[in-house]
Amino acid sequence: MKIAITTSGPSLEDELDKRFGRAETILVYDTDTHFVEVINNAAGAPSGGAGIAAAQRLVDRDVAAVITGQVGPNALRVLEAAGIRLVQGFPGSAKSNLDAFKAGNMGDLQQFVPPHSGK
Amino acid sequence: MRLAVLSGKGGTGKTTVSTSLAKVIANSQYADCDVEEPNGAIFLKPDLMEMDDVLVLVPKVDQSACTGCGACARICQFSAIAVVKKKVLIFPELCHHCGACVLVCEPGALTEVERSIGTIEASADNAFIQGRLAIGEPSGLAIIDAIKQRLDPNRPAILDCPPGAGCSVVKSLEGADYALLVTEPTPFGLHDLAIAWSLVQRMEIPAGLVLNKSGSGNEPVYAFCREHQLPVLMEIPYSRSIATAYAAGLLPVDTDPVWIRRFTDLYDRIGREVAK
Repeated sequence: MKIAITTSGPSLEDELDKRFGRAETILVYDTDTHFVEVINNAAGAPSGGAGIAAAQRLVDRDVAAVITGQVGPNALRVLEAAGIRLVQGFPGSAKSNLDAFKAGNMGDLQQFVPPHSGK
Repeated sequence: MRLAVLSGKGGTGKTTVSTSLAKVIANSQYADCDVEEPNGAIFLKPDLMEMDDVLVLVPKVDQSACTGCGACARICQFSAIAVVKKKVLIFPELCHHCGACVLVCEPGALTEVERSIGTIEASADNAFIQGRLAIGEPSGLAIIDAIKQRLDPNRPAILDCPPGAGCSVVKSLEGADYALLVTEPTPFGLHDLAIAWSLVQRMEIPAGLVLNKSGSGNEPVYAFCREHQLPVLMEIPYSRSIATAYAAGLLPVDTDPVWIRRFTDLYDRIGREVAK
């Protein structure tokens, strides 16, 4: 199973980036192989549609769940259509968030925001 | 002659200058290209006779013909399409109407349908044209195109540009014979003047400046103009009487005939600059 997490940088020690579409980096962690793919999400970010583009990247990688802070309506439409679980992250490192998720201590995402909130 | 009036910074006097020119130039057309906040009508008080929807083409999917290949989502430069589990999700408000998705759809599952993004209004003889972007719509470029289609190449045209130096300003400037920059003697005015000036340079449009609210703090603007050989064509003083009249919907040309002369001279001078 692949778990994605929005982060401020490319390492598991980097902090959760609470923005979804405008997150600097998205880490995709494979729970079977322990392989971590680093998606440089902010590079070439367009003026609009960032959330949709980020969601499409997760869909293309067959991600089962994403840990993040807040999601806008466009990204939500894509993530819901794909059946990707939205998990409420907490301020802290990617590793601590992933550990909490694996331990079953994480709830569903609470924060939904209007478009362009992460700009 | 097609004359575009722009400033970078908002509130420097684009509308004052462009509506004044529209009043003094015989047979002219005034086009309010600030489709997010058109305000030229406050001063020109036109009889708006016509109103048309501005329609753009956006993709629509026939899911039964779609193979879910994702080519449309990959070609879209604006993330207006996502493909999830062989299902196409379209976000019409992000679409820039380029039609690329329809071109790359091999099974022909995508067609284009019309969608209204706002309106365009005009006086009976098209002397006054304005557009209005619908609330929530992100891009008024198609409305500016619709406004410009009503311009008669044989009539003088004044295009009152939106503030800033982004896509909507570029769209308004395209095809202009001359760019009239309007600034005020403040650090913000000068900062944005430099951006607006570099834009018209890149578009290779000859330009001149109107310095509005002229008085204290002019010297940095003059220095900029000297450095870049930007002619200062007119100064409008920082004046309580002009501001008071403006607040009542009256232009300098409405209250003092000397301004009719000055704006007529301004237009004649621009005509000579363009002819150079």
